[in-house]
Amino acid sequence: MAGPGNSDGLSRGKALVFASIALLIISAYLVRLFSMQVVDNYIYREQADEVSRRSERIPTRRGEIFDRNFDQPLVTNIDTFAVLLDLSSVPADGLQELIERLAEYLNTESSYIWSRIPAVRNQSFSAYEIWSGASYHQIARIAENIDRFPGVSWESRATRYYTQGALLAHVLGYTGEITAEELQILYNEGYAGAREIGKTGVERQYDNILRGEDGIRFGRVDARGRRIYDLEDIPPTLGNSIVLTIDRHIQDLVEMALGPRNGAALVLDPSNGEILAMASYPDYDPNIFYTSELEGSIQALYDDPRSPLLNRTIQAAGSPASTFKTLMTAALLQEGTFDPHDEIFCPGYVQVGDRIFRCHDLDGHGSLDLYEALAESCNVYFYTIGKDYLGVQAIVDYSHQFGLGDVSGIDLPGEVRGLLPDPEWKERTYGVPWVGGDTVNMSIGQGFMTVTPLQMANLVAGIINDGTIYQPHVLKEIRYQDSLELIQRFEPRVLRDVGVSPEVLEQVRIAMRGVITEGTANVVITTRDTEVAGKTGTGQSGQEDYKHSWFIAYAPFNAQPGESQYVVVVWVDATNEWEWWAPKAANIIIHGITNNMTFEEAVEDLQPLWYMTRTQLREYLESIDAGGIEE
Amino acid sequence: MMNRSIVSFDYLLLFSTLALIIIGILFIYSSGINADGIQTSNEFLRQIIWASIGAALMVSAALIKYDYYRDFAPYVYGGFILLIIFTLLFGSVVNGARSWIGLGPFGIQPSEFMKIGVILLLAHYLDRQGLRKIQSLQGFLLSLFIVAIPMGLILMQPDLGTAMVYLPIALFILYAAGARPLYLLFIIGIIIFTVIFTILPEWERMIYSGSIGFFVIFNERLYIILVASALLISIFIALAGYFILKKTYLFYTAYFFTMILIGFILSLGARWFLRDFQMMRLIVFLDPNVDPRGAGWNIIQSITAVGSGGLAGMGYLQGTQSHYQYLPAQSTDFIFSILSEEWGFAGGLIISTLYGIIIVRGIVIATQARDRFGSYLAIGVIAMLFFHFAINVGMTIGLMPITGIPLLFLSYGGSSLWTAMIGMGMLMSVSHYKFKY
Repeated sequence: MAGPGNSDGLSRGKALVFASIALLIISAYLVRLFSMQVVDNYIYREQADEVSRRSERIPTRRGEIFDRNFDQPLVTNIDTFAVLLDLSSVPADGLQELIERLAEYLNTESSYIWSRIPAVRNQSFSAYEIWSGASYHQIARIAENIDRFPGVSWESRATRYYTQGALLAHVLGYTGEITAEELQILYNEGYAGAREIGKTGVERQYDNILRGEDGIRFGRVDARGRRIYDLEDIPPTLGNSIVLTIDRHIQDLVEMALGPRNGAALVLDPSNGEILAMASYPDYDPNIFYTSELEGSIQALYDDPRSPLLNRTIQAAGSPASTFKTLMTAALLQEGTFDPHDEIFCPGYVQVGDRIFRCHDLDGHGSLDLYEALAESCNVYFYTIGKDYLGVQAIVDYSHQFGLGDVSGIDLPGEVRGLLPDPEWKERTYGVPWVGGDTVNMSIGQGFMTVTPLQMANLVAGIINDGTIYQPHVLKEIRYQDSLELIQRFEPRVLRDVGVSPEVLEQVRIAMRGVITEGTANVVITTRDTEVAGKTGTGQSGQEDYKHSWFIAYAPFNAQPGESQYVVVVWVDATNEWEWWAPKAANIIIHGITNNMTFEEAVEDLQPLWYMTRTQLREYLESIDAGGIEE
Repeated sequence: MMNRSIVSFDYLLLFSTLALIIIGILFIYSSGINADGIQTSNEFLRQIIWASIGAALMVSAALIKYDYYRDFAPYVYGGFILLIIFTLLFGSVVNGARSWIGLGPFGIQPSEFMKIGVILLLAHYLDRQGLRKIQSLQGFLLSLFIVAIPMGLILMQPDLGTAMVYLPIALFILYAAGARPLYLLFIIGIIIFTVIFTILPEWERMIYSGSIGFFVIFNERLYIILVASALLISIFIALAGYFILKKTYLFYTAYFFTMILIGFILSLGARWFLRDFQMMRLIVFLDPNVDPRGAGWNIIQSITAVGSGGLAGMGYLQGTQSHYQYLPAQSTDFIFSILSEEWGFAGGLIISTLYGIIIVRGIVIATQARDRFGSYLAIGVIAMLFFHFAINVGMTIGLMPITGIPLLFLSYGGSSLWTAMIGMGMLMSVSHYKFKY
């Protein structure tokens, strides 16, 4: 019984079982290793590379926005601080206390800070951003007591700052974090790494000019996030700055003149389409979008039924009312179907079918020719003209030519087209045919038609320019952010020609001048420093007891060679039609622009004003100084 | 032939063992290199010291005639059991388990050395019993008892991984000794069912993230009792049927249901006993992305390191996952990952081949041993090496759950290295003294 292979050793069968099990598993492992390391190697290599390669944004600086005076920015970037909290350095039992202390130092509720910390926390190192928009002062206080704030750090962030507060808010717009939806749409336009994007106004319209491009600092990090070595940086490209056509002094005048009244006002240079002022009320201070502190106010803004975010000069439309009679005047004169010097008798109403249409003067204006009818804004005259001498199609055609019912293509987002109805549209929408009454209504700018203040400004511009309407715009120049050198200037371009002869338009201008000298606006347009021409209007707003007060005007009436003219359009929700704020505001605006005055100086200079005495002005100005206008 | 075998050492075994140990030291050195290329650890120096002493232990163990081990087996076993109990009471906690006793910087893990004790006593016990006794249920259960005592003590530390590796070693020795496959399969079946029933409810909670109506049987007392009762009744009916009808399939039905029932009951115990982190290791084995920065981190980093190695690797000391410290426990549990990253598939092939040589050579030694004790001893040592390899390497490539089982010979650590080397010495002794004089 000596030697190997005796029966006391392991039997060959069992040896084979053991060997098979061992070799089978080893082979299986080798197959697995081969498939991981050789076949799928590229996947893991990439994964390993990705895991350790970390890029860091080198933030760019968004371009600034200037007004046409180009002396100080309306929008710039300031450094505020984001407060970060690294939970791994906070003792477990000290978190509650720490957050309460932070809330006190940051002047907020601790519940807000709690809401920024996820319930399921990551074990590994990561800092949560618990606050943005902290001031230098707040950070300094925390820094002084840093031993009482374990795990707290801060990061300076360039934040948009609107130097003039609510001034021009609707035109400037604001920025915000890019949303997933926006990214999806803009991904192919190079927005892949962007974090901030313009949400409204110029910030949105010219986002690609303003935003610049973040740089990237590449590096490798180890598992604890420590930097191992740096690769080459890609430097950031600064955003370009924008100079607007807006004149902030005129803007201020316009906003003050509009005052705390829901409505819109704008000033346009008819010779090139430049918007000099564009105001909408209610307004807001865009700076609230940049501090955590004011998140509540943002919600209040969204919830406000008066829609403060709406730019009423281009994003709201209403019946043009009597201002439409200027277009009717132009159409009638061009068509020549009725002699402007022939008179029509106004008994105070007109009957069409079985409907009675009234004039605003219920006793009737008596007999008037075209010039008197426009000055007095006689409805009966224009009812008759519209129904018997022009017809609906001509009215629609001329409206088209003046750009009603269509966007102007102004370089601001969200412009609406209003509505230019015609028989076909009514049939399609309501299923009932266009009737004579509709034409009658349309003749005085009532009924289905709606227009935006900008469309009305263009209409006036067309009348002044012998038919040419320039593309309205707010962008004047693009400049380098650091050197301020000019990159590109916006060249004026013609938007449309209204197709009415210069002789006819001259007659329209004379008729509009008549509105001021002897017509409806005579008592309110008190400025004597320039000759104003215009047209009033009082439209239905859709709400009972709530009317739109319109005033479309330009000055000076007859420009001397080299003298520039400007169009002023004011559109206000009036609580009753006698308040008539639109022409009153326009009066102050025109007086202010003509004499290069502020609102205060203009009102002072226009005294005595029967609708705003010195006492009222003082109270009004004090209410503004006291921090905002309350309605 | 006789002469050669007396004077000649088992050089193939010696060479393979030393090669593995040297490769291990190389990569323990590599694992201490940080991202700046600076050596931050003296582990490789310590390992050289361990290996030098270990070599002396191995040669001594090889030169001692293994018959002496038989006589000392109960004392070795008993001694280490006492040491483990001492450790449980006075040991220090490392990685969450009270598994260390030591003085100053040097410490030992008795749970590693205990494997030698179990192999020796089991070989000794099975050698003394006749084949008839081994095949009896009583003999089988007694053998299991020898393993169950240290397993239970180690579970109390608690060190699940180390405890679990005892079981396959014991099953291999028992199979070699001729235990009935019916019993062995019963144990294996219970293990499988226990694992499945333990993981399933957690799988539902963590990965499936939904609710499967059927799973109330794991969570609600009433249903647990109902299921257990139903299984019990089925077993009784099957057994009754077997004794009346003498149909073997009824026996196997009862056999099968009993495995399920025991697995079911054990799984309830396991879910109660296992800590959350241990449960998470099982869950992330199924899907590491459940907790990629927590429990799944090790698996993900290890697989990434191995996979990025390629055919020939990134080069010695050139790995990124390892030197940027993404890879955890590089010198111990995940030494195979750093080796695979830097030496690629070629490195894995070398390690597998060396292990393969040792295992095949060990099995040959077992078949050639001059008595049963020597053959069981050889199988025990081979089983220990093989299961450490299978569990550790399987873990680094995502085929096994994460357990703290070292890769013997390569992983840093004196206790496991000495255990492996003493085991190799004993194997060499069996090879050396295979002839009766």
